[in-house]
Amino acid sequence: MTFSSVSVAGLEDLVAKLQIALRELDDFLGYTTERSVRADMNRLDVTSTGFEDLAVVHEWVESALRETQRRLGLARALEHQQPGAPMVRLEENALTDYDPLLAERQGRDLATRVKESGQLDADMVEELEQLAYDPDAMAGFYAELGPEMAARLAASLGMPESGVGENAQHYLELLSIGLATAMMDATPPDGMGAFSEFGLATDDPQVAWGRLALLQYGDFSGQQAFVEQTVNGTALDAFAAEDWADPNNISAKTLGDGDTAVGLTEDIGALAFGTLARYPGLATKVLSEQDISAKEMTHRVYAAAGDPAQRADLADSFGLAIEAATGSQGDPPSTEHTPEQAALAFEFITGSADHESIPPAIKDTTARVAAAYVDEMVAGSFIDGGEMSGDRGSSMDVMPEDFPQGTGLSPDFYLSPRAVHRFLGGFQDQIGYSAPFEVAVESLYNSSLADAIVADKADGGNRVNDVMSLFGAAATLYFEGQREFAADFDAREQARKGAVAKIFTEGTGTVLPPGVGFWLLHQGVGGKLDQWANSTDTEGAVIAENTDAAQLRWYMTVHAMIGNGVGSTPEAHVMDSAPEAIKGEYGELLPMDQIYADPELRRQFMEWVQSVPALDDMADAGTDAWDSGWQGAQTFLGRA
Amino acid sequence: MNDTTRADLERLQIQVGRIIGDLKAALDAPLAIMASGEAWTGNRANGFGTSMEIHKDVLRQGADTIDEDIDAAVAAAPAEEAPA
Repeated sequence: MTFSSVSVAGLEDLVAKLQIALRELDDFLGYTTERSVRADMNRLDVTSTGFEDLAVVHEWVESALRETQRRLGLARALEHQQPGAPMVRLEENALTDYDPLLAERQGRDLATRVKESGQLDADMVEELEQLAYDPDAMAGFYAELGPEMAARLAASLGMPESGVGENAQHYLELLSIGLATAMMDATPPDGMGAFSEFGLATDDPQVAWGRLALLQYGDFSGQQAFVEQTVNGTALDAFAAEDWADPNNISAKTLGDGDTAVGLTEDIGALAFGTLARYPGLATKVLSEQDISAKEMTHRVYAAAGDPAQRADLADSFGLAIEAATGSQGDPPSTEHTPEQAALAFEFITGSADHESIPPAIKDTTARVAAAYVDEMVAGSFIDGGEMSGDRGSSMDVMPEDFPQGTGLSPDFYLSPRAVHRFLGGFQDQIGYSAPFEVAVESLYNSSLADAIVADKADGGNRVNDVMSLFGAAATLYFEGQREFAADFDAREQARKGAVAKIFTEGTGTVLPPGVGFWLLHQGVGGKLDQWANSTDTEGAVIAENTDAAQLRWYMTVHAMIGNGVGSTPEAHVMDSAPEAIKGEYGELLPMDQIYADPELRRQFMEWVQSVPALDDMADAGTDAWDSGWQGAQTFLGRA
Repeated sequence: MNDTTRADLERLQIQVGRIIGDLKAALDAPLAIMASGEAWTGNRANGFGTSMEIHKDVLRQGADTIDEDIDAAVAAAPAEEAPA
């Protein structure tokens, strides 16, 4: 068995250069052009045996071109199996050596046998395995099979009574990979064009499900127009129609009455959304271009999925498509978005916030969207002034009156406090859902506060207070949403208490577990730590006896200020004036756990900060601003 | 040589002279790609490259023959008298 190493880019270049060589030879030989050097010479009665040599070379270049194009097609298909590799490994065998037309013939012959038999048997699958990454062969296979038979074949594998048992998924995977391979054929044969039929409406659930199932495993990233037409024509156009809730609407139909044999959902609408989730850019395009808004789509999914769960798969798959379409994938989810992604997120968030409860299957999605759009969540927490403070609507482009500038937030849209509260409350069932948002908001808080400190230090501005007030309000909306909706509220409080207590007893430094810092901040108003740390264990007692949460928050603010140069000059660092007892090995402020675990250190720390006006004034003002934001949001919620 | 004049042959000579170099070099770029090892490597590729080298020589030989035959035709054509 011999192998070649081939590069798609290199072979494309080689094919292009061989095509140029062929044209240059033809300029002399005149095989395909009327005008040629040979014709001109003939007119002048000049002959040359040199053309015989050129004819030999021309024949060889034609053959070399076929050979190269064949390997290029195979390389393209293999590249998807070996992503990132500059060269892919290609087995050199009799099939590789086939003329493209011969490979196509082999695919057609296999399809003919499948059509005659009406199903796949083990021998056919064995051959399919050999051909699945051969564009010439698979294009021949599907051109011969035709779009309807292809869809029905896929659907038959999805049905438990297919008779192929546990092999059903493997067979379907091969068919899907083969279709993606066929779509890579640079010179598609007669019959492949018929697959545009996948974009036409059908009322046959087997055909609809089969079409979508064929898109689930192969790599169609190079054929996104085909995917777009298929999901729209087969299911999403129907979902956007007025009769979407009618059981006869194709998007509401299922392959059968129960689970499929291949692990895919039987729900046709869900399978269409699930397809989009595989291609984020396409998901953005398709969901943006529906006849109904993403908000209306959200309403429909929530109505169909319902609680108690009915079409849970629909909510789950729609959620995955939304994550892809809004740029909310990744860990942590990205907070940078295109205008199209942001517009969809706005529709989805405000649509979700219209519902008092959301389908359980989509809660993980709402949590990730909240983390990806954390700037928008915090900005939307702003309680604007006026008689009915905070009682505004959400807007894609209208900034709330008096919205603070210079806070470092860069929201793509402005939610209402009510939408923020409702949306954040929606995913509070389990701590696992809320964790990504808590990590994101803590990170944003730390960076925004640091930036505001630096900017205020330079020009005496008021950004720190604005940041503290904004996050104080956000903390209220979040915390109250959690109290209202969290099924395991007590359990998660205990878990966080444990995390904080661990810091105090084990001295792990000021680095809190992700998310706990923000939690600690929003614990700050509304009670001393001893109200929750009333356990009998030593860790809880240490905290309860020595401090309350407001002081911890105060420490965190001062720590951020010192880190950003508040009170320092080019000549002297602010820590130079601090008592040695509260300084570490390198003159840095001791961690929170060490200072607050020792009453004497705590006293020295507080006295020192109060003696440094630059720190004391800014920390006090920031704390007051936090409380102001917190109270403003409490008032808003109390009125709501 | 029917109505062919030396001037016709000379025009042919010039026309072919302009493109014969491109013809001779037609396989240079594909050969360079194969030699770079960035498109296709392995035993099969080596055979393909060797075959291309051989055909490049055949191409050059054919092009030279055509060039020489045109030169010979021009040389054999009688010189034309300058118009009075």
